[in-house]
Amino acid sequence: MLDSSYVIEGLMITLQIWVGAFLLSVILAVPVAILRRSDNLLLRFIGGIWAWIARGIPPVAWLIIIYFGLSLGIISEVPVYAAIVGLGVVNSAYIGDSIRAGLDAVPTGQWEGAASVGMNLRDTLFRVILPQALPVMLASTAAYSITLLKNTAIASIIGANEMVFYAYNASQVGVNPLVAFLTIGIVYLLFTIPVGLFARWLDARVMRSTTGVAS
Amino acid sequence: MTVPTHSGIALSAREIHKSFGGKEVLKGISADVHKGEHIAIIGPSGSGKSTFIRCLNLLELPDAGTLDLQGERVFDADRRTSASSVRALRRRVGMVFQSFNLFATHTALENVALAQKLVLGRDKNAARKRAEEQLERVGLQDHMQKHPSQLSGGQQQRVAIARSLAMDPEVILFDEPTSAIDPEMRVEVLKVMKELAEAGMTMLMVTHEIQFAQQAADRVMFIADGEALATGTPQEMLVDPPHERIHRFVKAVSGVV
Ligand SMILES: Nc1ncnc2c1ncn2[C@@H]1O[C@H](COP(=O)(O)OP(=O)(O)O)[C@@H](O)[C@H]1O
Ligand SMILES: [Mg+2]
Repeated sequence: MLDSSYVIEGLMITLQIWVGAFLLSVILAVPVAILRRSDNLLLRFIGGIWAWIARGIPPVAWLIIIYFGLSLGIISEVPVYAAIVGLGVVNSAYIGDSIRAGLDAVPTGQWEGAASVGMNLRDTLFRVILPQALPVMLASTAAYSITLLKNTAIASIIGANEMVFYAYNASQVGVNPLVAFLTIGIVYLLFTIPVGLFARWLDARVMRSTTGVAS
Repeated sequence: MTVPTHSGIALSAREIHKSFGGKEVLKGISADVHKGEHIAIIGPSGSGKSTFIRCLNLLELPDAGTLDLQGERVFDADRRTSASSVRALRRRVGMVFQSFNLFATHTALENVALAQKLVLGRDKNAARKRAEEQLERVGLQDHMQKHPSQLSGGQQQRVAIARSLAMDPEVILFDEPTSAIDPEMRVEVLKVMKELAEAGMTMLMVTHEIQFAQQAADRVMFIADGEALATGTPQEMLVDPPHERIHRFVKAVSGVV
């Protein structure tokens, strides 16, 4: 049997990478989305290049490049940090798309209505635009965060001791691999299913509000 | 309606030019709106009426020209325009859009109160009281807690008028305020606008409602191809137009209505 304490220890590392990479990707995604929505062609290009590179290289390659390639001192020494940075970079392109799609979903008339009564950019964003954009952003962000959670599995390649790492080690010392990986598969589902349901619920809410039926 | 004895110029636009991607949409339009005056702007679609009226509250930045409010220079295309001076102008010049543009996630009451609090710094109770007054004024006392999606087009537009009024603007601009509304609901919006005009509000209105223009406007301006072709009293412009072009336009629009 796969020792349950190992599963829990691995899960803690998996969650660390997941949450860490998610937070980093949101922080990176905000400037990416702003660049990609800019009126300036050069800024839009820079934002586009970032998204292109972040998405165009397989996540596993990103982790190996960051872990082995760039000897960035602190990052390269701890596999968990390298995984957070690598997956954070990849996910930032997707979250950037979410933010952009959320803002695009708000009609320009909402900006103009706020402008017409003299509201500043900050108030317009926080009081008028984001309340409408956020549900759209959250729905796709939740969906992407499922992919992100599954991608944490590749962190075992650079030696991060997350769940797959423990399951693999256990199967090397006599635990039935099928049992080991089915066990952690179920643990992944315990997280992906609720997040998936949340994303679907948000999506339905957004659909309802954009088709004009009051909620 | 009689031409009021004007105590001064509320809004003066001089030689407003605007191009989009090399195409000149406004070719130097000027207008003086006196305090308490009601000007109707008519003209074929695509002639630049919306662009002109949007230039007056800087939703579009004119490429050339100046704007004065009560004799004070508030915009000059030759000078740098700061975001705060744009906002300062918009505080003083109200705007009512064809598509209402109410804040979708806020109730009618919040729509009218929000900018009072955020822009004018009124406290919560004062903003709420003023919002209630303005919503009553446009006949929506029973709909204050509804969201825009729960209101008819005519009701939404009246909330938009109340939102603008609550800011105590010196001038209100209207861009085809009834064009997106079902015909049977238009009359309630036109009635509110007529009451505003009678109360002495300074108004500049793009409209296709010829009959309304005749009743509520002191002057009518005809815009064609980005130029103000003629301006005159409703009688001069609508009953006995000075140009064949205006005559044809008025006939065509009246026929539809
Ligand atoms: N933001 C814009 N970008 C490009 N072209 C525009 C824009 N706004 C208006 N135009 C063009 O300017 C012309 C005048 O438009 P508009 O002012 O809306 O006319 P009207 O309100 O009289 O129908 C039209 O040809 C329109 O296509
Ligand atoms: Mg128009």
